[in-house]
Amino acid sequence: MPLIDDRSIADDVVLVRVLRYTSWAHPKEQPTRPSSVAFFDSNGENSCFIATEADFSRLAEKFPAQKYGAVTAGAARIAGYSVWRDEEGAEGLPGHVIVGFELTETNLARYRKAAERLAKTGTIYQVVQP
Amino acid sequence: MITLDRDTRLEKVCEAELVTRAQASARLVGSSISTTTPWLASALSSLRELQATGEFEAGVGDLRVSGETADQVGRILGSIRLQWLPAPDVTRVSGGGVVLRWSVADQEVEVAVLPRNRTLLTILQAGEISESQPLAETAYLRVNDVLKNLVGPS
Repeated sequence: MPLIDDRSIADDVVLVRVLRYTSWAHPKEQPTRPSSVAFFDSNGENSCFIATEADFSRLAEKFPAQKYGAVTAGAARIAGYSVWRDEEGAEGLPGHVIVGFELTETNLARYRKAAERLAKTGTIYQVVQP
Repeated sequence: MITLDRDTRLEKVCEAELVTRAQASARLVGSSISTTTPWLASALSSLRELQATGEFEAGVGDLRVSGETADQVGRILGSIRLQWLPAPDVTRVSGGGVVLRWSVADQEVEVAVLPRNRTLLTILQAGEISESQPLAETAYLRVNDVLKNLVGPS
């Protein structure tokens, strides 16, 4: 089934991915952007949040001291991904979206290149508590 | 101490724990791997840690690594005949996959093992993908060739 790209999520909308492991950021020594593995979910469904809708206090409770990789929806589309909302998929955490790549039997290499391309457009943020 | 006769006696050297033959064999193999191919011992240890620690995390994805995927990674590692290699980064991707990555200077060799028997070999130079292709189970030895190129003539 083809993925449906939700065009109501504009190209300039910033999407953040929880960088759950240090290896999900690049370069290892002094990270400046997410690494390709952050956008290489095995099923092609990368869990992200719309930055302006996410509840970072709750995210910080769930993932203390975690960094976030930020990309735009437009960059994801250019790399070959689709973006759609998935409010139920994050146990009530608001602003949850999937940055999805339609995986087939033959396009794994293309997915890997897309992940590299998207990761290179990204930046890293960290929540600063008042 | 047990004295058997005037010149012979048995002395307890230390308290040795009892181990089964299988345990002894596993220890022997582990110790042999760590001295003959240190990178492999490190990679296998990282792999076991990944397998032992992942769980499903809403907002991130499924971080569990199945036994089947771990076994497949193990088979790829076991197919590598090179003794001296840098230890690879062993990292997980969400959805149950594992990525192995060897780096030397600005060159990298990456093997991604995803569930349902999907494996991808990728070569990067200066951060750019120069080659990326699926790796069939019958072609694991191809990893040897690209790693040989990575480390150069020994």
